[in-house]
Amino acid sequence: MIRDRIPYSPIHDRPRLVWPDGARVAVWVVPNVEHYEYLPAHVAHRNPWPRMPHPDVLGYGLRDYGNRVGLWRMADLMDAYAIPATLSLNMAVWDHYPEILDAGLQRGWDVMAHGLYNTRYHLGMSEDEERNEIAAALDIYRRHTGQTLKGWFAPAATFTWASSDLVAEAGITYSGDWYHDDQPCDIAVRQGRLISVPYQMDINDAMVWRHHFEADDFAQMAIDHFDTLWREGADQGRVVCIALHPFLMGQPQRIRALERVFAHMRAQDGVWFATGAQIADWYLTQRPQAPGVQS
Amino acid sequence: MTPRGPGMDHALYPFSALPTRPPLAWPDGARLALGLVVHFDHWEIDPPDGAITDPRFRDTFGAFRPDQRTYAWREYGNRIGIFRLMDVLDRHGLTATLAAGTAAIARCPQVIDAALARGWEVAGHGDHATRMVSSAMSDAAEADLIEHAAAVITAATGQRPSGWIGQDYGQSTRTPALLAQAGFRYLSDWPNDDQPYLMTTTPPIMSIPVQAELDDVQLLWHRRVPTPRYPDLVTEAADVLLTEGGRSLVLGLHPWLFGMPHRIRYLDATLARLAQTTGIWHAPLARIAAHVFSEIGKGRTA
Repeated sequence: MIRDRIPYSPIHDRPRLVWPDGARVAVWVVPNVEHYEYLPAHVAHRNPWPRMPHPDVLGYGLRDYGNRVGLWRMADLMDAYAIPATLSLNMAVWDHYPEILDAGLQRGWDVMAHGLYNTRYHLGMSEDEERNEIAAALDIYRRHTGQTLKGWFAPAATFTWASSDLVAEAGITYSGDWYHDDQPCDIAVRQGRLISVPYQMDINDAMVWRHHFEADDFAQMAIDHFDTLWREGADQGRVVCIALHPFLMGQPQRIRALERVFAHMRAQDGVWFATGAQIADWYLTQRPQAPGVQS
Repeated sequence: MTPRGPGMDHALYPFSALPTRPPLAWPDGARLALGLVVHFDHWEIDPPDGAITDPRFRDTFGAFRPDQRTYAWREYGNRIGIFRLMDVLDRHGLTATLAAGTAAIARCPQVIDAALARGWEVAGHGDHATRMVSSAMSDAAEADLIEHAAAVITAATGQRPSGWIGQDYGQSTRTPALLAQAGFRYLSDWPNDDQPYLMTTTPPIMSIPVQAELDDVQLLWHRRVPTPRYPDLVTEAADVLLTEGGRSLVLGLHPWLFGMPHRIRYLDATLARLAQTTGIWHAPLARIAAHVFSEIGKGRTA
């Protein structure tokens, strides 16, 4: 078992990371497109609907709103600002909702698999169980696109000790499961190479929502986040991640706050709007050797 | 049973109502001493059984292993956030006390180098962010922890620390006495006053009170007060204390929290205002303690 997957590396001790066209920041916008099961098949470690005996129409219905309404409102906004999305996608969504599959394929949205269902936690899974879950997600992607999935973000941010090893072993290129840096980094794994593309648990509408903030607070946080990283990006390339949930920021009372964030970022020069896969691939061209590997 | 009678329900310090004390003078006629404490510690992804952490840090959905989310977030503070804090303090000419855990010192020696280059004080802070001092520890284990911290900091900085800031305000009933015996001159864990005061240990250790209500973790994380409100809250406190005079204000700052990109501008705004306010004496806690000891030597009674 690898205990320390992220050996210490202070930001100032690294060679400069340069983005395409000398951009200061790479921005990736990540809508989490999820399906929470109506009657979760298997409840252990964590109850998805703790409010009452299942089903819970309040909790389920709110998430369902995201797929029926919120995602489409958010997609229109991203189209209007020409922002490429990286979906954090519960892969079962593509089997349940071909409309969402088609919308993503038409737009060329990137996909970072978010497990199968957001109620299918990896907590406490054996290696074989987790390997099978990952394989099932990859199979769905391959069946619908004929291609190999590149990105992984653990469903509901649930982990085992082996998660990073198993996704690398399955051929995944980049992971959204580490929030420890402003730059892509290598994650130590048993075999292969796995790149962290920095995801956000702070600039994340679902985290903000749980703590009685509202959309205008979130928009201010996102703009402040962007401004700091853009300023620092003059010396050292940084990643700006905006993590979204269509069932939250896709609500009518919130969508204009999100528009302010997009407009703010679009008004700046030196910004590379990219997908998770593009950021990971670019990092690999800049850092062809994993740290610790002798050339 | 708690003895019911005049005074405290412990013997660590006597009760003292602030208006009954003689005035406290700061250098150069300042009316307020301001100390900044930057917390530098390492959060374990898999702490040992029995380790005590503040339960409010648990994941929204429960306590899970591996605790990858908290681990990664705290690591951000030591890779990036702490250097943002240093940049902001540099800009305003402020020198902090670095509360340094031994595990963080071993993992991130570059942070110690950066702190010493700025003339920051380094204070004891236990070993890991995931291991609070508490009365669940044995006497010997706590004494060992304190001596180990002093030895590691001495080796890393060339100077034995004079101050102690407990991880997440963790103390046992023995902590002040053990610190005093180990040669520490002050501790800063008690949010119970606006002036430093002596504890009854042998020799007497000074308690420099910390304004825990304005500590970034207590305010912005546990209570989720929006960060844009921080500058007004802090400068309101400073304004009241300046008006009263002879007061101290200690603010705790955490690199994984205030060092996040969206928060840092509000610390910058706060310190810009404080740095421009006349009547504030900025100093690391060791200098605040030394000054108050000197006043006591001149006959001031706390």
